[in-house]
Amino acid sequence: MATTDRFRRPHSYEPLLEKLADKKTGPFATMVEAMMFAAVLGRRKGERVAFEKSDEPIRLALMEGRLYGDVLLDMLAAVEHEDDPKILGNDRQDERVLIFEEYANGGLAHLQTLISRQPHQDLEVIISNLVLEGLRNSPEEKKDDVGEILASASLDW
Amino acid sequence: MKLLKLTLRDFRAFYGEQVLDLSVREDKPAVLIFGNNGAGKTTLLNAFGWVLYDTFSDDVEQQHRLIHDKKWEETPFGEEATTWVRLDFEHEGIRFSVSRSVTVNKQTDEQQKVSPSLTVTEVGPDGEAKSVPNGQDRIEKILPKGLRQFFFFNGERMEKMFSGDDNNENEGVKKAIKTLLNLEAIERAIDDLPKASRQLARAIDSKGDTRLKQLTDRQEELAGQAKVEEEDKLRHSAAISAFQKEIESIGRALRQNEQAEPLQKERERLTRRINQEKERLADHKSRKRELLSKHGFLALTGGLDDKVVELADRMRERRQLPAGIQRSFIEDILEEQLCMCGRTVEEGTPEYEEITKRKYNAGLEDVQHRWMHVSGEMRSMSDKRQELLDQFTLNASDIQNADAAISQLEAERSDVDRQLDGVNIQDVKRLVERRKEYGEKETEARVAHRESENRMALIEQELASVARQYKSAVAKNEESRRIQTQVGLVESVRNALIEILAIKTEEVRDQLDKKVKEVFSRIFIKSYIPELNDSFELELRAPSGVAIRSTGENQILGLSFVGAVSEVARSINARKSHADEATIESSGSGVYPVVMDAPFGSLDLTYQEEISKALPALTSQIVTLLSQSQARGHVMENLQHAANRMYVLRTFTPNRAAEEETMEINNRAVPYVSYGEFEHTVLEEVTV
Repeated sequence: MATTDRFRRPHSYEPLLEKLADKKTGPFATMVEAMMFAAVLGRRKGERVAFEKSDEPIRLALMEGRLYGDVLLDMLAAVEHEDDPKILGNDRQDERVLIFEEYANGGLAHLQTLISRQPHQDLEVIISNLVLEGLRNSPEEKKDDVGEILASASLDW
Repeated sequence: MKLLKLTLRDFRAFYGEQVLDLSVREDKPAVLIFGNNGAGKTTLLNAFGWVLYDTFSDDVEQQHRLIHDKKWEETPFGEEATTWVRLDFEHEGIRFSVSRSVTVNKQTDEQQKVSPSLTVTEVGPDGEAKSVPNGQDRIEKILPKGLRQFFFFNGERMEKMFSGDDNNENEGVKKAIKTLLNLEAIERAIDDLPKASRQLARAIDSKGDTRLKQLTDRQEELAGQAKVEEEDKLRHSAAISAFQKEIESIGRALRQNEQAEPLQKERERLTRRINQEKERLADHKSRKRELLSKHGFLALTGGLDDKVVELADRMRERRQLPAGIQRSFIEDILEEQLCMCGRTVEEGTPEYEEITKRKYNAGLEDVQHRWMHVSGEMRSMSDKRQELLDQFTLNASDIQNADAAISQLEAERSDVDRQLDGVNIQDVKRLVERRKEYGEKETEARVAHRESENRMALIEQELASVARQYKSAVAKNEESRRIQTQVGLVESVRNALIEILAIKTEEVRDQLDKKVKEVFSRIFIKSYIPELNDSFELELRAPSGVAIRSTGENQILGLSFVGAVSEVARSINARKSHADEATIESSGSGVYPVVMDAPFGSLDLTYQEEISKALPALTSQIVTLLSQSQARGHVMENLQHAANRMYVLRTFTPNRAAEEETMEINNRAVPYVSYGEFEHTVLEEVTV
């Protein structure tokens, strides 16, 4: 059973991850937390993106010690394969890690977009806006920003 | 002093040569000059002060720009430009021509300050003109500089005449009056006579009369000591007043700084609180970061948790999660096709199918366990999210409050800073030290002054005693006796002069006082009475004591004083020359002219009329500068009656936007603002 006890971080967002977990200015204390946030964000935005190139993987144990850190992978996997309960089986750990990694990658991509859209905004402000938005709105009401903009512009192709 | 003619050449606003004929007649003592604001009334007034004393009043701007701008502009670099003012006047039958001029070799565009040169020429009764070698002194003898403020003045600044903070200013007035009234000569004599008597006494030969010689020597010695002592005394009292001034100014600075002390404390308190709030803010911010970092992702789990719980429940419903059944147990049943209850479970029957379905899931304890755990955890997640929202909200308001507190405190502190601006707290200590130091110095100087006075008293005592001994000493020979008598005579002359000076001074004071009272009561309605005190200071007495003077009252007081000085001077001169035994009581006008700008200042119309009536009787010659607004109604009428000549200061301006203006004099429209090629002012005589 080729299970892994580590998860990968996408190489292309390494600079972003470093910024997010910067000791002085980053909104996250550790890279693990940044990745956890990115994964849930990716899931919420429905952006799961596969990647190949990665940097030094992080031990899963680091995540498991945190509040809900132990169930995060399972939660993401469970909703990803809602008709396949065995996704939570011991032998499918790799698959769950992959889901987590790819959502994290998607989340980071989303963050990167947000940051480049408001380059003068603090990272912390961007993150806390996301948090508050997430806390106040249930996902059902979630709106597609781009779609909304397009709709409001009444673009007639 | 009778003014005859003022000539200006390229002087400030006046381009080219402008002549003002100032001659008047006894029945018409006034020359009226009308001018718009900025036409050069103040310049004209100041031309008198400049030509006589090289002074300008403080309200003259750009005092170094003496040469008319156009003239200066026309002058090529490296060439000379000149301006001058000449005043012709008559004094005690002698004609004088005083002229002051400035010649500048133009090197730059800006005019620089240059010392003017003065020429005073005297034309005797025989018509012979000769230059007066020490011109400034001669002018001072005729009209002391200390009194110029009373004879050439701006009515709007009249209140400054007597409100000098400096005692020296009053000293100056007193001295100037003495000069004017020839009391100075007596004072000088009193000072000089002891020298004369000592000169005489030295003639006594020491061999001839040892006793007298001894007394003379002692007297000289004592006189020398007295002189030294007197100088010491003066030095000490100068030091005392200097120290006092210093202490006062330190006191002022300290009062400012003492006010600053509580401010400084307040500032420190505010700074402490700002720092506290900043620490609090930092705490809140780090708390926010912690919340974001540790629990931020929870915010985005909304819906996921419900979904997981729903999936788990659905699976349980579909019995996809057969808890606790071992896989081998089901496999055995299917193998043997026999249930534990004894029934057969044949392949192909619905029972077999059902058990087969269970087999898929049965015994996947890890899966089952995980689902149980995950779904269990999910059930509390929405509470956690609510908690997170609460914490976030609380944290945000904490941050906001701390931010608000900091900006409030910082605003308070910058307010304090503004109040503290310019105050150096370090100074306070130094100031206190300096005050103490100067206090000690002052005390020392007072002690020294006192000691000096005591020594002086002793010296004077001994001088008197020596003088008595000298008088009663028996002279040895004829020559000594003769000198002894002469010295005695000089001494009695000196004593007589001292008495005379006291009487004269009192007399002059009394005359001036009477005259001021008289002139004042002519103009002023209230029951106030002016009084010239022993120090020649003018006070205004109300029935209840010293009156507080308003600007207008000061002005009338000033005018009265000017009139009084002029008349008293005239009567004294008259007596001196024996030509006219006129007394002060006889009506008539004084010997000095008065030149005034805006004589009514800011007075009420009633006073303006009173003054315009009283003015012509004030002195023998009055030159008055008026703006159009000051020449209204009866004022104009009254003045015109007394006017021998009238002039208009006509302004030429290249500014086409300005209105050309005229003013009505004698029912005629006289232009006083016209268009010209450049800015300048011209004196134009108007028919009376």
